[in-house]
Amino acid sequence: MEHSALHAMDEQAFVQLSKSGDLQAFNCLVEAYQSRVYNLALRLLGNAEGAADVTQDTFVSAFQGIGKFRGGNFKAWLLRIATNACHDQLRVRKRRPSTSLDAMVDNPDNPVDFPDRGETPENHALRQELVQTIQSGLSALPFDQRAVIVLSDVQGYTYEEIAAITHSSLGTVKSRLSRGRARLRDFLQEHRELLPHQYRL
Amino acid sequence: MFRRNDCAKTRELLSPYLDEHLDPLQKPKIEAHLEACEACRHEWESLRATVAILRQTPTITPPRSFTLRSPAVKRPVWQGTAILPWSTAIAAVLLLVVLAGDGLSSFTVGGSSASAPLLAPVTRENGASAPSTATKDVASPPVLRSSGSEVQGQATTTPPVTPGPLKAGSADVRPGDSVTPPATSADAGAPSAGLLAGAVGGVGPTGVPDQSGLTPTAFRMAEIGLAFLITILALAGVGLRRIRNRL
Repeated sequence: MEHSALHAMDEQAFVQLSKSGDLQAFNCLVEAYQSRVYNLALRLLGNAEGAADVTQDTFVSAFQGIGKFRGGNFKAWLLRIATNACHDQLRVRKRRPSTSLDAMVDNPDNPVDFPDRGETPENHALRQELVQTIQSGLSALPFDQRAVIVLSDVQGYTYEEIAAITHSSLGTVKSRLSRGRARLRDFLQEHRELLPHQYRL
Repeated sequence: MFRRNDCAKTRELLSPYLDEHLDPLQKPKIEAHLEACEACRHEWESLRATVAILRQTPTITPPRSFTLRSPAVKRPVWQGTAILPWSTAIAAVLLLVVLAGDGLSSFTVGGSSASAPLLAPVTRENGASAPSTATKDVASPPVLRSSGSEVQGQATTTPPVTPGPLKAGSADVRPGDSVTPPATSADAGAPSAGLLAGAVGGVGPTGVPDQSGLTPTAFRMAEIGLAFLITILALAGVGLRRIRNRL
């Protein structure tokens, strides 16, 4: 089920049913949001396996804690759980650095991105190269700035939605976005050779 | 040429300008500045290109479905775990209240009892001689130094159940003497005999109600019970948290 297919009324009903322990109703919410949660985790962690783990953990935590959800924006609540889970995982990785972040970003198996229909192999390779450079740039940012940039420029959320997800003020969102974009631009300018020709700054 | 301040201000606002999140009054100023300042215009174009690149990031199809299966999902072990911290806090407050009551009663029930050091050893020996461990001057209540009549008055505040030798001992007190009443001289003063003496040693006088109507034993029992309860609640909280994290 696509997210667009889930109306606000249905969402509320599913949330209410989930609160009473209805797993089937909760799974409708999972299906509606799993792509968003997974892609957010993927861009925040830069690692497909970690993103899958965080996505699963997010839904388990959400189901177990849905009793504490007091209404309002369910999507923001869910994405906040996912963002916090990513932050926790990065902190654990920092304490136990078994694999470096760069190694995970550079791994060609990460993330799994198949060619679009009608896309030539050359274009697919170029796009992969671009994605890897973006991911390296995102991974070089402080977590707060990375989260705001992914939510805004990759996932297309509004300032208000980002403020709700990150539990911060509009002013904080604006300043993190401004500083994060400037740092990312500097990164892309420093690594111009990694960008496909038409995207070089 | 622009002042560096103008350029810095403009660059700060380029990000919200790009998202059309700018104050309507600021927008024409930014546009005028960008038109005239080549360096800032270059900055603006590179920022716009950066965001355009970010928007190229594809949405990846999740590798699998994340729907939950019932055996895999366990609800929290006990939904009431949330009350544990509150119960611990309430028990801690109760303990403080009991301790305060214990302390207050020891000060209000007779000056002789107030004068006993908190952790002074308590003996069953009656008589005026002060316990050897008590420091004479520090432990003496000022009222005992002022006059003989006050000393007498002080001595008469001891409960009537005080055994005979106490009076004899009290009579020995002379004005100007530095007197530390024996801990055993006032049964009502037992609470001041200290937590350790009363609670651990159990040698303090028991069974004599103080002004609040609670016996020293009741105070000791309440203190020990509450301390025990706090420990149990804290351990239960830690244990349940660990179990929940493993699930």
